[in-house]
Amino acid sequence: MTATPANIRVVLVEDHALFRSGVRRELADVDSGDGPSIDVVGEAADRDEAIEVIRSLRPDVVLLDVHLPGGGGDTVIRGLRDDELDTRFLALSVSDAAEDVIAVVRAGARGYVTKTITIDELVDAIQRVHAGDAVFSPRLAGFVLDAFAGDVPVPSDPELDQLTEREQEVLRLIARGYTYREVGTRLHLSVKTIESHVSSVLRKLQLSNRHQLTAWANERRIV
Amino acid sequence: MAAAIGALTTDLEADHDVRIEAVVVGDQPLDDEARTLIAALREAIANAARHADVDRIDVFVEADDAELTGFVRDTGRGFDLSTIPVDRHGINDSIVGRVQRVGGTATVESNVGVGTEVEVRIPRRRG
Repeated sequence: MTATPANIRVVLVEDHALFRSGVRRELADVDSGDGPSIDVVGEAADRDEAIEVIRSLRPDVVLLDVHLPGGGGDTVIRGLRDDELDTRFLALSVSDAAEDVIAVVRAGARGYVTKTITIDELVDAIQRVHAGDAVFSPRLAGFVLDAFAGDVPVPSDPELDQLTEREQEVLRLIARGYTYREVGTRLHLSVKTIESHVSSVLRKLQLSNRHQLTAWANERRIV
Repeated sequence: MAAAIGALTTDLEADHDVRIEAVVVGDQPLDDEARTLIAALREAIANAARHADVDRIDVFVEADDAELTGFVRDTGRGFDLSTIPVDRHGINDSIVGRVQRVGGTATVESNVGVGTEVEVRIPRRRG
């Protein structure tokens, strides 16, 4: 038996009070398994309140609605960029619009889950994001495949901004409902390797505008 | 076609007490091939809802000019493919037969205790 790991401090950002209180209650009741338990330390209902609450509480993880009064979830993340927080953002939405979700992931969210998620799946997602993983739901995998098929601006160096065959293969399996472990088994790769493919997709998404891409390349002396 | 898949899953969620996580990449007009894909998906989802004993079914559809691809996956009871009677209506007729008639392929992969996945591929007539 190891020592009980520290709780994960979570802030809920969501404009519907009923949904917020439901999630809060469920998170309080749920068995968090072997992982650290989850402690909801604050809530916010709109963009400005979210920035204020996150700034003062410095939570580990923020569950962030994609649509908020005052600005989207992406504007919350951008509004906190200069604060240098260690906070990780997990987007939570009913949205079916790929652009909304892609925007929040590009801003720096580490994953995306839908509101149809079960509480056990949500706890798992929070724990994984907290541990540094990128959490791709089947829907996010679908959105990303869509985004790279069309909307992404033509990059200066295609090598950096295209998904590799392997990354696409991983995303397709996730979209089909496979867990990272199952994807690994199927492709004869370790879970670690799958996680690194997913992280690299996330990085490409976050870099997928020309300016950031150039800055990234400069830093690494690629150009 | 994406809209029709949305309607289909809403429909089936209401009929069966199950959550359907549908992901659609790309969209194409609702022509004969698309209708065939949707009919096959409907059958596969209904099968999963009736027999798999799961609370969630994953559906993934990818559509481009060249091909329509659809997957229906559950992590439920599964079955041994060799024990299915040849005349079992659902899989042979409503899925495989239907898809073959428009020049596509349908395969079913199932393992007892692990789950079932149906894969449907339909090439699109071009030009």
